[in-house]
Formats: sequence, C-alpha cells, structure tokens
Amino acid sequence: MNPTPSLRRKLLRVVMLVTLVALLVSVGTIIAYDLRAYHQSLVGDMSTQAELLGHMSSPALAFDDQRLAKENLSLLRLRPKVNAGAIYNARGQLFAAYVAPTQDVTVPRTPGAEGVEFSDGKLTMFRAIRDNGELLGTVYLRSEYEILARFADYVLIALLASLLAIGIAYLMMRRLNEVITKPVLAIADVAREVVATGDYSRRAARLSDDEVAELADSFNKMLSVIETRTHELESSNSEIAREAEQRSQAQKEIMRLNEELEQRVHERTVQLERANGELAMAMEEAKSANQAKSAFLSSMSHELRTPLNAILGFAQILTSDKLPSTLAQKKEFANHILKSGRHLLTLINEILDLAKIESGAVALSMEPVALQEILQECESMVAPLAGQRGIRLLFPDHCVANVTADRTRLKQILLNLLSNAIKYNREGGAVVADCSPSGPGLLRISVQDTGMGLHPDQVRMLFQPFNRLGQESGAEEGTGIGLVVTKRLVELMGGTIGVTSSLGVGSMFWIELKATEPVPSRVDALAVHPAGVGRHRGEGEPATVLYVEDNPANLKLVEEIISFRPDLRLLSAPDGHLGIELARAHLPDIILMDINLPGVNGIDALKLLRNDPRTADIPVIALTANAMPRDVEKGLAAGFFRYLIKPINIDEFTEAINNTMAFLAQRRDTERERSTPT
Amino acid sequence: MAPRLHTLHRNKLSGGWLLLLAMAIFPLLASAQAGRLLERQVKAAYLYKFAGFVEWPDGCFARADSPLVIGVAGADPVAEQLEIAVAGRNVNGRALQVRRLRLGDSLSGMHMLFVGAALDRTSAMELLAASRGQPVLTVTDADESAGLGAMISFIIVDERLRFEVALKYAAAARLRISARMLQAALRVQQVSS
Repeated sequence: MNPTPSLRRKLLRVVMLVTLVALLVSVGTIIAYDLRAYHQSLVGDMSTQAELLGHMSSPALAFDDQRLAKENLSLLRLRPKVNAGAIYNARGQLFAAYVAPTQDVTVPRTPGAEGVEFSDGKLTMFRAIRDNGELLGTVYLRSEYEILARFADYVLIALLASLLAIGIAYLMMRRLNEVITKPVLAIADVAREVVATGDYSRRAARLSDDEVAELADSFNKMLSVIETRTHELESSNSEIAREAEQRSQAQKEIMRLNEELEQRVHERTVQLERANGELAMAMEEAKSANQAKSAFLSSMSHELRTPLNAILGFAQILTSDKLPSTLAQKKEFANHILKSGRHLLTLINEILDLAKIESGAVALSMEPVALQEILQECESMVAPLAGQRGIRLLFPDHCVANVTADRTRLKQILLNLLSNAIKYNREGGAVVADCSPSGPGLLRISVQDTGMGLHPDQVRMLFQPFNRLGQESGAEEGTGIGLVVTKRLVELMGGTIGVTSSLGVGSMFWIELKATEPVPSRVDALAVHPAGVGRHRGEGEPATVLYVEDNPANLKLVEEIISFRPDLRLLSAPDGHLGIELARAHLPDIILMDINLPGVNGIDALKLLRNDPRTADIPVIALTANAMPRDVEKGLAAGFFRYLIKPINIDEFTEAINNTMAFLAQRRDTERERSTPT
Repeated sequence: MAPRLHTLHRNKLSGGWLLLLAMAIFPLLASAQAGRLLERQVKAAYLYKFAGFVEWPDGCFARADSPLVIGVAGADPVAEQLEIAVAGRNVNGRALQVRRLRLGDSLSGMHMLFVGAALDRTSAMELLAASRGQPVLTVTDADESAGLGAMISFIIVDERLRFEVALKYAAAARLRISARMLQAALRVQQVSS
C-alpha cells in the first residue's frame, strides 16, 4: 500500500516482533518449565505412590498377607494414568499384581533394578520397600508418560495464544500507535507544511508530555527562531531593497537634475546665443541707427541748406546794388524767399516734431474720435491741393466708427498720408480713402493712390528719414520726414501702419487703430434735457463756466448743453496754460477740467488754480475719460469738487452743475449773512 | 555369647534371608506337622514385627535408646527363636531384649508379653491379669487364648499364621496399635465391642 514504510508501520512491526519474541520466550520458558514440572511431578508422584504403596503394603508383606497387598494395589484404579502395578516380596517373587481394566500389559515376573525408566510414552518404576532398614519387597508401577503429547498440546496452545496475543497487540497498537506516532506525525506534518509553504508562523501542537513534546517544543522554538531570523532577513532585505530604491531614486533624481541642469545650460546657452545674437543685432541696429543718424544729420543739413540757399541767394540779389532788378523781378525774388522760408519753417517744424516724438516728449490725449467727422475735415483741407492737380478725391460717405486716438495727431497722420497720395499721384489720378473693421476691436483706415507704385526695396526704405525714394530731384517739395513722424505717431497711439504696393498700379497706405464706442450724440442730449433747463436760475447775471478741453467734439457737446441754459455762459480753453490764464482773467463761477491736456495736465492745473488766491475758491469739476476707480479716488483726493466720467452722461452733468450752483448760492448766502450784521 | 552375637550381627542379612526362607516354607512345614520349628520361627518374627507397629505411652522407656523388653512365658522354643530373630536388630532405634518368664516373675520393665501355649490356663490368666493396667502388649498363642483377654492372639488359618487384635485391652493399657497392622489382622475387636 504505502511504498515507504511509515513510522507507524515500523513501530507496529517492532511491537509485533517484540511481542512475538516475548511470547515465544515466555511460552517456551513456560512450556519447558511446565514439562519439567510435569516430569518431576509425575516422577515424584509415582515415587510417592510407590512409597505409599510400599508403606501401605509393608504390613501385608510383613505378615504375608497377599490379600491385603492386592487390596492396596487395587487402589491404583483411582489413578487412571497408572496402567499397572505389582508388589514383589523380599525374595523377588511376585507377591501381588494389578492391571488397569482397559490395559493389556503383563507385569514382569521379577523385579528389575530400582529406579525409573521411560519408554514408549510409559513410565516404569521399581521401588524397594524398606521398613526399619529392612528390605520387605519391591513395588512396581507402570504409568502413562504423556510428555510428548503434552508438548504438542502446549505448542498448539502457544501457537493459538501467540496468534491471539499478536492479534490483540496488533489491534491495541493500531490504537496506541496514535499516542506515540500522532505527536511525531503532527510535527512532521507541520514541518512538511512549513517547507512547502514557507510559513514559519506554523507551530506544532503539543499532544503529549514526553520527549516528543520536548521535540515539539524544540521544533517550535526552532521555528520561532527561524521565523525571527526570516523576519529579520526579510526586513533587512526590504531595507536593502528600500535603500536600493532610494538610491536609484536619488540617482534618477540626480540624473533628472543633471538633465534639468543640461537643459538649463542648454537654455542658457540658447538664451546666451540669442542674447548674443540680439546683442549683435542691437549693435548692428545701433550701428545702422548711428549711420542713419549721421545720414540724417547730413541729410538734414543738406535739406536745411537748400531753402536757406535760395533765401540767402535771392536776398543778396535784392540787397545788392550791383544787381539791379525790376519790381517784377523783386516781387518774384521775394516770392521765392517767402516760399523757401515757408518750406524751411515746415522742415523745422517737422524736425522738431520728430525730435519730440523720438525723445518721448509728445503727450497724447487718447479719446474716442468719430472717423466720419475727422475724414470730412481732412477732405476739406486737402481738397484745394487735389483740385490744383486734378486729382479726384473719393471719401466714404458714412464711416460711423469711432477709434481711440489723439484727435489732433490722427488728423496730422491722415493729412500726411492724403497729401502724399495727392503729391505722388499721376496726372488725373484719384485718391481713395476708406475705413473698415479689420479684426476684433480694430479699425483700418486706408488711403489708396493711383501713382507709380513702389518696389519692394523701396517699401523697405519707406519709413526712414529723408528718404524720398528718388523724389529728391523731383518737382515735389518734401522733407522726407513726414512718413517717419506718421509711423511714430501711429505706434504711439497703439496702432500699426503698413503699405501694399504694386508697380504701375499704385500704393495703399493703411493704419489700424482700436475701435471704440461713439460719444453720445448731440441729438440724445437735445431729446432728453429740455425739461431740466434753467431750473435753479436765480436773479442777476448768468453764471460763468470755464471749460478746459482740447477735444473739439467734447467742447462742442458741452457748448450745446450749456446753450440750453440761459443762466450759464461758457468760456473754453484748449489747454491747461490757457485755461489758467482765462480763469485768472475772468474768475469764472465753475471750471470744467479735462485731465489729459496738452501742456499742463488737469491735476497740475488744479494745483496751480488752488495756489492762486484769486482762483482758489472756484469749484473745479473733473470731466475725463480716466474712469478707473483709482483715478477717481486720486482726482477727488486732489481736490476736484466733482469727478465726471466721459462719455458725458447729460443727467449726471446737469446734476453736477446744479449741485455746484446750489453750493455757490449757499456760500453766497452765508457770506451775506456774515456781512449783514457788520 | 558375644562372638556368636558378633557373627550373627555380621550375618544379619543372611539371617534375614534365613528367616524369610523359613517363613516361605512355613506352610509346607506346618502341613507336614513337622515344621514346629518353622511355626516357632514365624511366631518369633511376628512378635518382633509387632513391636514396630505399636506405640507405648511416655515414661515406659527410661531413655530414648532404652531396649524394648519382650517377656516370653511358657514358650521357650519361641523365646529361643525370638532371641535369634532379634539379635542385632532394633525397632525404632531400640534394641530388643528377650526375657524368659517363670511363674512369679515381675512384669515390671516388660513392654511385650507373649504367653505361650505351654503355660497352663490358670497361670496364663494370672500372668495376663498381672499385666492388666500396665503398658504391656500382651500376645497369646493358639486357640485357647480367646478368653484370656490378651491384646493380640495368634490364629492358624488355612495353614497360615494370622492374628486377632482386641483393641479394648490395648486402649486400657494406653497402647496404640498402628492401623496398618490392624489391616493385616484377621479380626479386630473394637473398643466399644
């Protein structure tokens, strides 16, 4: 069944073997002892029997009583194992005999030698009868000697007993085996499981109190030691692994940092290269700017000299006595001088303008500008020039858009572009102005001519000072500065300027500016406010209002609003200086002040007014496009009476005016009350 | 006497054999009526053998090895044979002495008394009466002894010598007679009878 003999089977075999040996030895010993005892007891018994018989029969022999001897012998019938018996007298004659009923034996005629003989399973004994030291006769006994049969019986019994004992031992061992093998097998099982699973937390059960239990304890201790060691090993392993991981992480980190460093070095290098490139470019630019400046200076000196040349030349002719000239001639020379002087003035103005722009000294007043209006103004201004040259002007009919710009400068820009378009046009050509949205919150104003067009090279050189693109020798007067100034101004207003040109067809110059909401129209003001007119007008002269504003549109609006109020008279000034002068001269009741003003700005102007005792008490209302809360706060802190925000809300405006009027009336009343008692 | 005794002693075995031979041939002799000698010899042997089966009360013997004295009265031939038989023999470690009794002899010191047929009835009665109450085993010969009141009486049956035992006399004399001997007896008179 089981190929490997288990402990249980071994134990069983050992016990069986030991039991068998013990049984054989004990049974053998018992048999030997018993046979010996049987032999001895039989011999002893027979001897005793013979002795007894002899003793009993001694009177029979002594007194020659055969009957008595026979009676004595016949008592042997009580001993079935005794086959035969006989008594011989002292003379060796058969005295009496006995033969067991079923036996067929003959008694010897004469006594044999005294002693015991064994033959054929029979015991024969001769024993002398002595009494008082005297031989009386001999007793003969013949008995069964069953030692062999007995031995055979014993062997059979021993065999059966052994079988029985072994059987019982086997059955008992099957049970008792458990007692010994179970704890061992339990340990073995645990050991096998531990080996199989590697789970050192298993413990062998302590099923007994013997050495196996000690083994189990030792085994458990060993297991716990192994477990502890394993744990330590595992934890140290995991520690090592963790360290390794940390190390690898640190390595990765280092690598990453290295890479970052390399990346940064690379970036820095690139930046450096770029910076170097930029530097080189900047140097190049500076160099070229320097060159341009030199060229500009030389050009400027040349350009300035040219009209001066004419002026001085003609003036010399006029003043020279050697060169007499007619009146007509004189008039012509004076005209030349006048023309050259004008040209020079224009030149100088433009140069100054450019210089101002370049030095950043130009203050722009950015505000919503209605394009339609400004285009109409420009058209009317360039119309005579175009008419002289037979050039048709085409302007858009309704350009309702508004842009954020400085009105004066925008007009300057447009005039420059329009005059160029007229000047460098072909005979009978046309100039087309247009405005259109060009992107989210952007508006493009374009001026197209029908001139000769420009080379791409020329386009590149276009916005450089004194570069007139080959027109230097041409008939048209020009400074070569106009486009440069124009470009600068557009850029200052946050716009862009550009040109597209095709040779022989013409060029189109365009500027792009931020679109904005239009200022509220005057029609709205008229519609809304007739009711509120003159509500607080008291007796006497109308109150004087001074409005300092550079934007004509705003001025016009306020003029219109005020014109509905018979109690108000409006004075206006286009910049801060003039405003202050007017305030000092007329001492108005109320001053409306723009903040972004050319020259002195509104806040500075307020300070100047406050510093002058004549004007210090005049309430000044700010009226400005600077609408940020910070600006409002700053304005009120600076001392403005009210702070109104453009575009002008007429209700607000009227209310502010009325409040201020009420304030003035109250002040007048308190002054009057103060002066009345005196 | 001494040398003879000595010789006899030396030839004890041969003496024994002789006795046994005599006993064996006794019937033959008896039947021939000529074997008086053999009869006497057998009687002597019986007397001697009786001693082995009888136990005397304490105080009957002065010492442990004091001789056992057999008085023989009225039977000199038997005494003669007895003297031959007991010569050199002992019973239970005691030597045997044979004393021939005459009328008037004291019975003191006697252990056995054989009253032979030669003695007349009166004398025999007298003698037995004298022994009564004393520890003396009394044996009488022949048929006439029946009424005499002896403990043991010889009887001839089928030409063999047998004996009877009267236990009441023995008990009166404080003697104990072995049961084995009683088995061999022809008749036993019990105490109560």
